[in-house]
Parts: sequence; C-alpha cells; structure tokens
Amino acid sequence: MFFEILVFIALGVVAGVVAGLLPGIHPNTIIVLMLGALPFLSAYPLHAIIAFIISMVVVNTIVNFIPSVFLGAPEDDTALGVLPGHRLLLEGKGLEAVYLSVVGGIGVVLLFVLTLPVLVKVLPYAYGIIKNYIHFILLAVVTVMIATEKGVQKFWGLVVFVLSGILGIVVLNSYLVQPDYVFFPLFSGLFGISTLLISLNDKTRLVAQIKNFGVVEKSVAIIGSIKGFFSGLIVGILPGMGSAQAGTLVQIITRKRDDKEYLVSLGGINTANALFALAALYTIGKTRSGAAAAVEKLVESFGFNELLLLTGVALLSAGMGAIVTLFLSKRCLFLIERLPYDKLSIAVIATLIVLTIIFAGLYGILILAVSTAIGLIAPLTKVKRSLLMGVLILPVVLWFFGLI
Amino acid sequence: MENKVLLYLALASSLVGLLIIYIASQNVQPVVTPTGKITFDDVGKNVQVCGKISSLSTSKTGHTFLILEDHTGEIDAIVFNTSKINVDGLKKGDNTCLLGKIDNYEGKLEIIPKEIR
Repeated sequence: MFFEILVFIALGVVAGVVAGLLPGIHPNTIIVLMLGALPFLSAYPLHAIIAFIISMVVVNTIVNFIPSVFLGAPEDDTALGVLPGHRLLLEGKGLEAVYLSVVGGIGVVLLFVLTLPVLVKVLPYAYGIIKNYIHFILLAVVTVMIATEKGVQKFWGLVVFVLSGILGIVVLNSYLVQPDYVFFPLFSGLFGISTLLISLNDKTRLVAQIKNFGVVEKSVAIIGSIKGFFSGLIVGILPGMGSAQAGTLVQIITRKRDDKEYLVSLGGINTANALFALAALYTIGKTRSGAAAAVEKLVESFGFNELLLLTGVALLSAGMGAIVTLFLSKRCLFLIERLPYDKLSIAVIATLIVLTIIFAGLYGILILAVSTAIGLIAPLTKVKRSLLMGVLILPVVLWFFGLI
Repeated sequence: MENKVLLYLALASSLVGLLIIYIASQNVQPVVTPTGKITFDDVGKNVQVCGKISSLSTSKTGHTFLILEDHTGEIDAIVFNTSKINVDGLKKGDNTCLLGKIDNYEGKLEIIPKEIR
C-alpha cells in the first residue's frame, strides 16, 4: 500500500498545481469529480485516495499565490494576499512575495507537526469555548478595522463594508449561480479586476523584477509563521471563518504594516486552514472544509491512524509543493517580464470574464461587474481593501445573530 | 480617467447593480428536476424538487428528516435544527417543493433544503 500512497501523493501534487495555477479551479471541484469517479477508484486503497486529497489541498494552498501575486487573480483564500503581493510585484519584488508565502506554508506545516500531540488534547476545549462567540469576534474585528481609518475614511470604510456585505447577502442566498462557482465572480471582481483596472488607469508599468533578494529574515519567517499558524487554527475549527477573515484578524491584532511578514502569515494561514480543517475531523469530529467532508465520507471514522497519515502526507506534499512553486514562479516571472504589463492586465481581465461566463453564466457576469464596481471604491477612497471581506463577514454575522 | 469621476461611476454602478442583482435573485430559481434524474454529478448543485411528502420525522436533536416522492422516484431531505426553515406546518402527504443543495451522505443522495414552498 505504501507504493500506492506515494503514487497518489504524486498525483495529488499534480492536481494541486493545476488547481493552484488556474484561477477558478478550486480543489473542491476536483474532489467532487473524484468522488463521482469513486466506483472506478475502488480498486485502490482508501488511504491512498485520502493521501491524494490531502496532498492536492496542501500543494494548492502553496501554489495558489503564483496567480495571486503575478496576475492579481485571487481565489477566496488568497484574496487578501493579492494586495501586499501585488504591491511588492509593482516594486519589483514579485518573486520575493511568492517566496514569502511559501515560507509561511512550510513554517506552518512544521509547527503543525511539532504541536500535534498538544493540539489533539487542547482543540476540543478551545472549540467548545469559542464557538458561541464567533459573530462577536467578527463584529469586533470589523469595528476596529473601520475605527482605525482616519477622518472621512471611516465613513468610506463603512460604505465599502456595507456594500460588499449586501452583495454577499443577496448573492449567497440566491440561486443565480451554482454554489461551487459563486465565489469566482465575487472575488475576481472585488479583488482581481478592480486591482488591475486601477493599475491600468494609473498607467502602471511593471518595473524590472529582482531575482536575488537575499534571504528571508529569520524573525519575519518565524513570527509570520506563528501568526499564520494560530490564525489558521481559528479558521480551521470555526464555522463561517475563511482564510481572508483570519488574515484580517492578523492585520488587526498586529497593527503592523509589514507586507513581508503579512505575506508569510497569509501563506501560513491557507495551509494551516487546510490542515486544521482535516485535523478537526479527529479532534472535534466536525467537517470544516470540502476536503474534510470528502475524507469523512471515505472513512468510517477519522482515527489516530488517519491523523498520522495526514501528518506524513502534509509534510511530504508541502515540501514538494514548495519546490514546484519556487520553480514555477521563476518561469512565470520570465514570461511576465517579456510581456507589456498593460496588455497582460487586459488579457487577465478578459480571461476572468471568459472563465466567469463558463463557470457562472450571464448572472456571473452581472455579479462580476457589480463586484468590480464595489472593489474599486476601496482603493479610490484609500480605505483598507480587507473591508471588502464584508462580502463574507456580514452574512456570517447576521446568520449567527439569527437575522437572515 | 480622474479618480474622483471613477469613484462616482463605481458608486453609481454598485448601487444600480445591487438593485438589479436583488431583483434578479427574487425571480430566479432552479428549474424543477425530477427526483429520478438526480445523480452524483449533481452533488453540490442547487436544485428544485417537487412532489409528495411520503415520510416525515424529527430526531431527538431536532433535525427533521423527510422523503419526497414524485412520479420518477424519491429523495431524502434533511432540515437541520440550525436551519431557519419552519417545518411546523408540514405533514405526511403534503405536496411541496424543496429548493436546496444536493449532498452525498454515506453514498446516498439527499437534498439540504434552503426553502420549502
């Protein structure tokens, strides 16, 4: 069975790279396809299939930052990463931005393995305490975010949060787009196309990219990974919390506008989120992600052996994911430097529109257009773009308060 | 384009667009799918199924389980105790429509309703 597990990990890495590089392809899409093909996979050991899912999800969280940073085409998990990542790209530090997120991913996997024996004992208690207060925590986070804006920007911050929140409430409670694809037009508009339009309007030119940026500072790597680890912990066990909300939490708690440390944290959060969602199956018996739900469906119970398998596969696939990402990011940079940035931006916008039509149809285009318009307000009024996460935070808060 | 003009354009488009999406969302619902035509390919998709409630029960934990049958077959449905759907008025034999997401629970297809009409 060991050989089969290794083969399925390798396949998971390939699937994770594909899902990570192509905007709009989420690992959940591949998992759904795979679960449909289960009758054909029944000849293989169940644990090999679980290894495939885990390696695909872990690699995807690491590779995901390449399109986020270089193209400004985020998925929900990397939506906030596109902001400091894109900023570093425009300063010639795109490669460094991807490296930083990889450092966070690897750092978190190591922390996860080291702390697993303690986590297994502590998580159920932590979950029991926090689960009833999630909406208050989110509300406090948003209040602090708006209150820390200056002067009239407090008003604009509120406008951005409320408008994106209303968009989330209306779209997420509608049948306009199938649930698996509804986030694609929302996040492509709020964070992707709006970013690219501002760059085009400002006639941004991509400066020469720095290839040799030296080593990542130890303190940045360690502190960023620890922040990512604990934020991922919150996301992984709590319902309604996504990586982007956790990223916002990191920004608020630290009050530090250090893009590098923030990118390490975000890289870490995404990977931690995936790992904790799976570990939550064992510790609190709850599913917190598409991958965890799929694994739960495959095994009768997620026991200690499965937890050990998760740990081993996560370590191996994180290492492989990091190597692939570092290799691919250099190749992507080579291509991007040779193409005019404005034409590239237009090509990315066109691609996002075409993918929206394919995945979400004409209503998807309507959602994309409105999301883009709302996404433009934040940078134009110079308020924190993370307030656009109102698209998820407001519906979650209102749901927990029993208002929707 | 000046940033101020772009801001006003973005604001106006946001408000008008939200209104259009709201109106569209009130009028768009999944087409009715016969229960016999629902397959594992539909897992994760929103569908609408209409038929007669052939079984209805509530667990100790407050989850409501029902089976909806039409002329092509039947499908299980579960309304969780955290759901905002009011199931008090439902009874066996009622003709109703369920709108919700198809789920695969232990190899069996079921619908998690968001609305019952």
